[in-house]
Amino acid sequence: MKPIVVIPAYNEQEHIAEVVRSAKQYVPQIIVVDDASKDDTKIKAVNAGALTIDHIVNLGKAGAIKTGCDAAVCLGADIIILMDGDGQHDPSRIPTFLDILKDDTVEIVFGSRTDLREMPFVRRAGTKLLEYSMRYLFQMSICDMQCGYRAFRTRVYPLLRWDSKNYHADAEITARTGKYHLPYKEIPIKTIYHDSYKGMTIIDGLMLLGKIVIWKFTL
Amino acid sequence: MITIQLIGVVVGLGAIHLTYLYYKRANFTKKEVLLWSTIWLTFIFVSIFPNSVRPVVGYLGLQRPMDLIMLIAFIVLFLLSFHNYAVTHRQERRLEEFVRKAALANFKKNQ
Repeated sequence: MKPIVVIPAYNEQEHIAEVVRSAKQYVPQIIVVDDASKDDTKIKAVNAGALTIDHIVNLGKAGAIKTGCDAAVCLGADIIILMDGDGQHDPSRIPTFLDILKDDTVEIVFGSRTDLREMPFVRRAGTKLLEYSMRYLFQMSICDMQCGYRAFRTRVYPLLRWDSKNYHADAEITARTGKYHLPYKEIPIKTIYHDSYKGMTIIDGLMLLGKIVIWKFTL
Repeated sequence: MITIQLIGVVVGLGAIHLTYLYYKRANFTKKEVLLWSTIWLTFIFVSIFPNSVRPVVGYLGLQRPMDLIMLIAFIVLFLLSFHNYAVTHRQERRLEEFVRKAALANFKKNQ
Protein backbone atom coordinates (compact mmCIF):
# COMPACT_ATOMS: atom_id res chain seq x y z
CA MET A 1 0.00 0.00 0.00
CA LYS A 2 1.54 3.31 -1.12
CA PRO A 3 -0.22 6.32 0.35
CA ILE A 4 0.56 9.88 -0.75
CA VAL A 5 -0.72 13.02 0.93
CA VAL A 6 -1.83 15.86 -1.35
CA ILE A 7 -1.92 19.35 0.15
CA PRO A 8 -3.16 22.37 -1.83
CA ALA A 9 -1.50 25.55 -0.64
CA TYR A 10 -1.96 29.21 -1.43
CA ASN A 11 -0.02 31.70 0.68
CA GLU A 12 0.35 29.21 3.54
CA GLN A 13 3.93 29.98 4.60
CA GLU A 14 2.83 30.27 8.24
CA HIS A 15 1.62 26.68 8.56
CA ILE A 16 2.80 24.59 5.61
CA ALA A 17 6.15 23.46 7.07
CA GLU A 18 4.53 22.23 10.27
CA VAL A 19 1.77 20.45 8.33
CA VAL A 20 4.30 18.71 6.07
CA ARG A 21 6.60 17.72 8.93
CA SER A 22 3.69 16.31 10.93
CA ALA A 23 2.24 14.42 7.97
CA LYS A 24 5.65 12.95 7.09
CA GLN A 25 5.63 11.06 10.40
CA TYR A 26 2.87 8.88 8.94
CA VAL A 27 3.34 8.98 5.16
CA PRO A 28 6.70 9.14 3.37
CA GLN A 29 5.59 11.16 0.35
CA ILE A 30 3.80 14.48 0.58
CA ILE A 31 2.87 16.52 -2.48
CA VAL A 32 2.28 20.22 -1.90
CA VAL A 33 0.59 21.98 -4.80
CA ASP A 34 1.73 25.59 -4.67
CA ASP A 35 -1.21 27.38 -6.25
CA ALA A 36 0.72 30.44 -7.44
CA SER A 37 1.46 31.65 -3.91
CA LYS A 38 2.96 35.10 -3.51
CA ASP A 39 4.85 34.19 -0.35
CA ASP A 40 7.45 31.54 0.58
CA THR A 41 5.04 28.60 0.70
CA LYS A 42 7.04 26.58 -1.81
CA ILE A 43 10.42 27.07 -0.11
CA LYS A 44 8.98 26.20 3.29
CA ALA A 45 7.31 23.08 1.89
CA VAL A 46 10.48 21.89 0.14
CA ASN A 47 12.60 22.49 3.24
CA ALA A 48 10.11 20.49 5.27
CA GLY A 49 10.58 17.55 2.90
CA ALA A 50 7.61 17.79 0.54
CA LEU A 51 7.57 17.33 -3.21
CA THR A 52 6.16 20.46 -4.75
CA ILE A 53 4.25 21.09 -7.92
CA ASP A 54 3.71 24.65 -9.07
CA HIS A 55 0.78 26.37 -10.72
CA ILE A 56 1.82 29.46 -12.65
CA VAL A 57 -1.73 30.80 -12.27
CA ASN A 58 -3.97 30.41 -9.21
CA LEU A 59 -6.62 27.77 -9.98
CA GLY A 60 -8.22 27.56 -6.56
CA LYS A 61 -8.46 24.57 -4.23
CA ALA A 62 -10.34 22.30 -6.64
CA GLY A 63 -7.78 22.80 -9.40
CA ALA A 64 -4.87 22.40 -7.00
CA ILE A 65 -6.03 19.08 -5.54
CA LYS A 66 -6.79 17.80 -9.03
CA THR A 67 -3.21 18.54 -10.12
CA GLY A 68 -1.92 16.99 -6.88
CA CYS A 69 -3.95 13.83 -7.40
CA ASP A 70 -2.75 13.55 -11.02
CA ALA A 71 0.83 13.82 -9.75
CA ALA A 72 0.15 11.22 -7.05
CA VAL A 73 -1.16 8.85 -9.73
CA CYS A 74 2.05 9.45 -11.72
CA LEU A 75 4.07 8.50 -8.63
CA GLY A 76 2.16 5.23 -8.32
CA ALA A 77 0.08 6.00 -5.25
CA ASP A 78 -2.49 3.42 -4.14
CA ILE A 79 -4.13 5.76 -1.69
CA ILE A 80 -4.47 9.53 -1.89
CA ILE A 81 -5.05 11.53 1.26
CA LEU A 82 -6.30 15.09 0.88
CA MET A 83 -5.76 17.64 3.61
CA ASP A 84 -5.63 21.41 3.87
CA GLY A 85 -2.38 23.34 4.06
CA ASP A 86 -3.48 25.83 6.70
CA GLY A 87 -2.99 23.44 9.59
CA GLN A 88 -6.68 22.99 10.37
CA HIS A 89 -6.47 19.22 9.86
CA ASP A 90 -4.64 17.13 12.44
CA PRO A 91 -2.14 14.83 10.64
CA SER A 92 -2.24 12.37 13.56
CA ARG A 93 -5.53 11.10 12.10
CA ILE A 94 -3.77 9.83 8.95
CA PRO A 95 -3.14 6.34 10.45
CA THR A 96 -6.88 6.04 11.18
CA PHE A 97 -7.70 6.80 7.54
CA LEU A 98 -5.14 4.22 6.41
CA ASP A 99 -6.32 1.58 8.89
CA ILE A 100 -9.86 1.83 7.56
CA LEU A 101 -8.63 1.58 3.97
CA LYS A 102 -6.83 -1.68 4.83
CA ASP A 103 -10.32 -3.11 4.57
CA ASP A 104 -10.52 -3.66 0.83
CA THR A 105 -14.27 -3.12 0.75
CA VAL A 106 -13.95 0.57 1.68
CA GLU A 107 -13.04 2.91 -1.18
CA ILE A 108 -13.18 6.31 0.47
CA VAL A 109 -12.97 7.67 4.02
CA PHE A 110 -14.40 11.08 4.87
CA GLY A 111 -13.22 13.19 7.75
CA SER A 112 -16.09 14.74 9.64
CA ARG A 113 -15.63 17.80 11.82
CA THR A 114 -16.75 17.15 15.37
CA ASP A 115 -17.13 20.80 16.23
CA LEU A 116 -20.20 21.39 14.05
CA ARG A 117 -22.27 21.95 17.20
CA GLU A 118 -20.10 24.92 18.08
CA MET A 119 -20.95 26.63 14.81
CA PRO A 120 -23.28 29.65 14.73
CA PHE A 121 -26.94 28.64 14.29
CA VAL A 122 -27.25 29.80 10.66
CA ARG A 123 -24.17 27.87 9.57
CA ARG A 124 -25.23 24.79 11.51
CA ALA A 125 -28.70 24.95 9.95
CA GLY A 126 -27.14 25.31 6.49
CA THR A 127 -24.89 22.31 7.07
CA LYS A 128 -27.93 20.27 8.18
CA LEU A 129 -29.85 21.32 5.08
CA LEU A 130 -26.98 20.23 2.85
CA GLU A 131 -26.70 16.97 4.78
CA TYR A 132 -30.41 16.20 4.28
CA SER A 133 -30.27 17.13 0.59
CA MET A 134 -27.35 14.75 0.10
CA ARG A 135 -29.22 12.04 2.00
CA TYR A 136 -32.39 12.54 -0.05
CA LEU A 137 -30.78 12.95 -3.48
CA PHE A 138 -27.79 10.59 -3.22
CA GLN A 139 -28.85 8.26 -0.39
CA MET A 140 -25.73 9.17 1.55
CA SER A 141 -25.71 9.46 5.28
CA ILE A 142 -22.81 11.83 5.79
CA CYS A 143 -22.61 14.50 8.48
CA ASP A 144 -19.99 16.77 6.94
CA MET A 145 -19.69 16.64 3.18
CA GLN A 146 -17.70 19.88 3.06
CA CYS A 147 -14.73 18.68 5.09
CA GLY A 148 -11.60 18.58 2.93
CA TYR A 149 -9.82 15.91 4.98
CA ARG A 150 -10.43 12.61 3.21
CA ALA A 151 -8.65 9.59 1.74
CA PHE A 152 -9.54 7.36 -1.19
CA ARG A 153 -8.11 4.58 -3.31
CA THR A 154 -6.46 5.69 -6.55
CA ARG A 155 -8.50 3.14 -8.49
CA VAL A 156 -11.68 5.16 -7.83
CA TYR A 157 -10.06 8.52 -8.68
CA PRO A 158 -11.33 8.46 -12.30
CA LEU A 159 -14.88 8.19 -10.92
CA LEU A 160 -14.35 10.91 -8.35
CA ARG A 161 -12.48 13.38 -10.59
CA TRP A 162 -14.45 16.59 -10.12
CA ASP A 163 -15.37 19.44 -12.43
CA SER A 164 -16.23 21.97 -9.74
CA LYS A 165 -14.18 24.94 -8.83
CA ASN A 166 -13.02 25.88 -5.35
CA TYR A 167 -14.80 24.53 -2.29
CA HIS A 168 -17.61 22.85 -4.21
CA ALA A 169 -15.13 20.12 -5.16
CA ASP A 170 -15.39 18.53 -1.70
CA ALA A 171 -19.16 18.28 -2.03
CA GLU A 172 -18.87 16.97 -5.60
CA ILE A 173 -16.54 14.18 -4.47
CA THR A 174 -19.17 13.26 -1.88
CA ALA A 175 -21.94 13.37 -4.49
CA ARG A 176 -19.91 11.22 -6.89
CA THR A 177 -19.32 8.70 -4.08
CA GLY A 178 -23.10 8.43 -3.74
CA LYS A 179 -23.70 8.41 -7.48
CA TYR A 180 -21.35 5.47 -8.08
CA HIS A 181 -22.34 3.70 -4.84
CA LEU A 182 -18.75 3.59 -3.60
CA PRO A 183 -18.42 2.05 -0.12
CA TYR A 184 -17.37 4.77 2.33
CA LYS A 185 -16.81 5.44 5.99
CA GLU A 186 -16.76 8.62 7.99
CA ILE A 187 -14.43 9.33 10.89
CA PRO A 188 -14.54 12.22 13.35
CA ILE A 189 -11.71 14.75 13.13
CA LYS A 190 -10.79 17.78 15.17
CA THR A 191 -10.45 21.06 13.35
CA ILE A 192 -8.16 23.90 14.30
CA TYR A 193 -9.25 27.20 12.76
CA HIS A 194 -6.48 29.71 12.19
CA ASP A 195 -8.37 32.07 9.89
CA SER A 196 -11.81 33.29 10.87
CA TYR A 197 -12.48 34.72 7.38
CA LYS A 198 -12.50 31.29 5.78
CA GLY A 199 -15.69 29.28 5.39
CA MET A 200 -18.91 29.50 3.42
CA THR A 201 -21.40 32.34 3.38
CA ILE A 202 -25.18 31.87 3.13
CA ILE A 203 -24.95 32.65 -0.60
CA ASP A 204 -22.23 29.97 -1.02
CA GLY A 205 -24.45 27.49 0.82
CA LEU A 206 -27.46 28.24 -1.38
CA MET A 207 -25.35 27.95 -4.52
CA LEU A 208 -24.01 24.62 -3.29
CA LEU A 209 -27.55 23.42 -2.61
CA GLY A 210 -28.43 24.29 -6.21
CA LYS A 211 -25.35 22.44 -7.42
CA ILE A 212 -26.28 19.30 -5.46
CA VAL A 213 -29.67 19.26 -7.19
CA ILE A 214 -28.00 19.76 -10.59
CA TRP A 215 -25.48 16.97 -9.87
CA LYS A 216 -28.36 14.60 -9.22
CA PHE A 217 -29.27 14.90 -12.89
CA THR A 218 -25.92 15.58 -14.55
CA LEU A 219 -23.31 13.37 -12.86
CA MET B 1 -33.53 66.63 -34.85
CA ILE B 2 -34.34 65.90 -31.22
CA THR B 3 -31.64 65.34 -28.62
CA ILE B 4 -32.07 61.55 -28.38
CA GLN B 5 -31.55 61.23 -32.15
CA LEU B 6 -28.44 63.38 -31.92
CA ILE B 7 -27.08 61.17 -29.14
CA GLY B 8 -27.80 58.10 -31.28
CA VAL B 9 -25.86 59.54 -34.21
CA VAL B 10 -22.89 60.57 -32.03
CA VAL B 11 -22.77 57.12 -30.35
CA GLY B 12 -22.99 55.41 -33.76
CA LEU B 13 -20.18 57.54 -35.22
CA GLY B 14 -18.03 56.93 -32.14
CA ALA B 15 -18.59 53.20 -32.48
CA ILE B 16 -17.61 53.28 -36.17
CA HIS B 17 -14.45 55.17 -35.21
CA LEU B 18 -13.64 52.49 -32.58
CA THR B 19 -14.31 49.74 -35.12
CA TYR B 20 -11.85 51.38 -37.50
CA LEU B 21 -9.27 51.73 -34.71
CA TYR B 22 -9.59 48.03 -33.82
CA TYR B 23 -9.09 47.21 -37.50
CA LYS B 24 -5.96 49.41 -37.73
CA ARG B 25 -4.56 47.67 -34.62
CA ALA B 26 -5.23 44.30 -36.31
CA ASN B 27 -7.72 43.28 -33.63
CA PHE B 28 -10.54 43.00 -36.19
CA THR B 29 -10.55 41.28 -39.57
CA LYS B 30 -12.12 42.90 -42.67
CA LYS B 31 -15.23 40.74 -42.20
CA GLU B 32 -15.64 41.93 -38.62
CA VAL B 33 -15.22 45.57 -39.68
CA LEU B 34 -17.86 45.10 -42.35
CA LEU B 35 -20.28 43.44 -39.92
CA TRP B 36 -19.90 46.03 -37.16
CA SER B 37 -19.88 49.00 -39.56
CA THR B 38 -23.16 47.76 -41.07
CA ILE B 39 -24.68 47.41 -37.59
CA TRP B 40 -23.61 50.92 -36.56
CA LEU B 41 -24.65 52.52 -39.87
CA THR B 42 -28.08 50.92 -39.48
CA PHE B 43 -28.17 52.30 -35.94
CA ILE B 44 -27.38 55.81 -37.21
CA PHE B 45 -29.94 55.51 -40.02
CA VAL B 46 -32.68 54.46 -37.58
CA SER B 47 -31.68 57.27 -35.24
CA ILE B 48 -32.09 59.86 -38.02
CA PHE B 49 -35.15 58.25 -39.65
CA PRO B 50 -37.04 56.47 -36.86
CA ASN B 51 -40.15 56.21 -39.04
CA SER B 52 -38.29 53.89 -41.43
CA VAL B 53 -38.91 51.04 -38.97
CA ARG B 54 -42.60 51.96 -38.56
CA PRO B 55 -43.83 49.00 -40.71
CA VAL B 56 -41.87 46.54 -38.56
CA VAL B 57 -43.15 48.25 -35.40
CA GLY B 58 -46.73 47.83 -36.57
CA TYR B 59 -46.13 44.24 -37.64
CA LEU B 60 -44.78 43.33 -34.18
CA GLY B 61 -47.68 45.09 -32.45
CA LEU B 62 -45.45 47.72 -30.80
CA GLN B 63 -46.40 51.34 -30.22
CA ARG B 64 -43.26 53.32 -31.07
CA PRO B 65 -39.97 52.84 -32.96
CA MET B 66 -38.19 53.35 -29.63
CA ASP B 67 -39.94 50.21 -28.28
CA LEU B 68 -38.47 48.22 -31.17
CA ILE B 69 -34.99 49.58 -30.49
CA MET B 70 -35.30 48.71 -26.80
CA LEU B 71 -36.53 45.21 -27.66
CA ILE B 72 -33.64 44.59 -30.05
CA ALA B 73 -31.20 46.04 -27.52
CA PHE B 74 -32.39 43.61 -24.83
CA ILE B 75 -32.22 40.65 -27.19
CA VAL B 76 -28.68 41.62 -28.25
CA LEU B 77 -27.66 42.10 -24.59
CA PHE B 78 -28.93 38.66 -23.61
CA LEU B 79 -27.21 37.06 -26.60
CA LEU B 80 -23.95 38.85 -25.82
CA SER B 81 -24.16 37.81 -22.14
CA PHE B 82 -24.67 34.20 -23.14
CA HIS B 83 -21.85 34.37 -25.67
CA ASN B 84 -19.50 35.99 -23.16
CA TYR B 85 -20.37 33.35 -20.55
CA ALA B 86 -19.70 30.51 -23.00
CA VAL B 87 -16.41 31.99 -24.21
CA THR B 88 -15.19 32.78 -20.67
CA HIS B 89 -16.11 29.29 -19.50
CA ARG B 90 -14.23 27.72 -22.41
CA GLN B 91 -11.18 29.91 -21.84
CA GLU B 92 -11.17 29.08 -18.11
CA ARG B 93 -11.14 25.38 -18.88
CA ARG B 94 -8.36 25.80 -21.44
CA LEU B 95 -6.31 27.86 -19.01
CA GLU B 96 -6.80 25.29 -16.25
CA GLU B 97 -5.73 22.44 -18.53
CA PHE B 98 -2.73 24.40 -19.72
CA VAL B 99 -1.60 25.29 -16.19
CA ARG B 100 -2.07 21.69 -15.03
CA LYS B 101 -0.19 20.21 -17.99
CA ALA B 102 2.69 22.65 -17.50
CA ALA B 103 2.81 21.91 -13.76
CA LEU B 104 2.79 18.14 -14.26
CA ALA B 105 5.39 18.27 -17.04
CA ASN B 106 7.68 20.30 -14.80
CA PHE B 107 7.00 17.95 -11.88
CA LYS B 108 7.89 14.86 -13.96
CA LYS B 109 11.04 16.54 -15.27
CA ASN B 110 12.23 17.23 -11.71
CA GLN B 111 11.59 13.68 -10.47
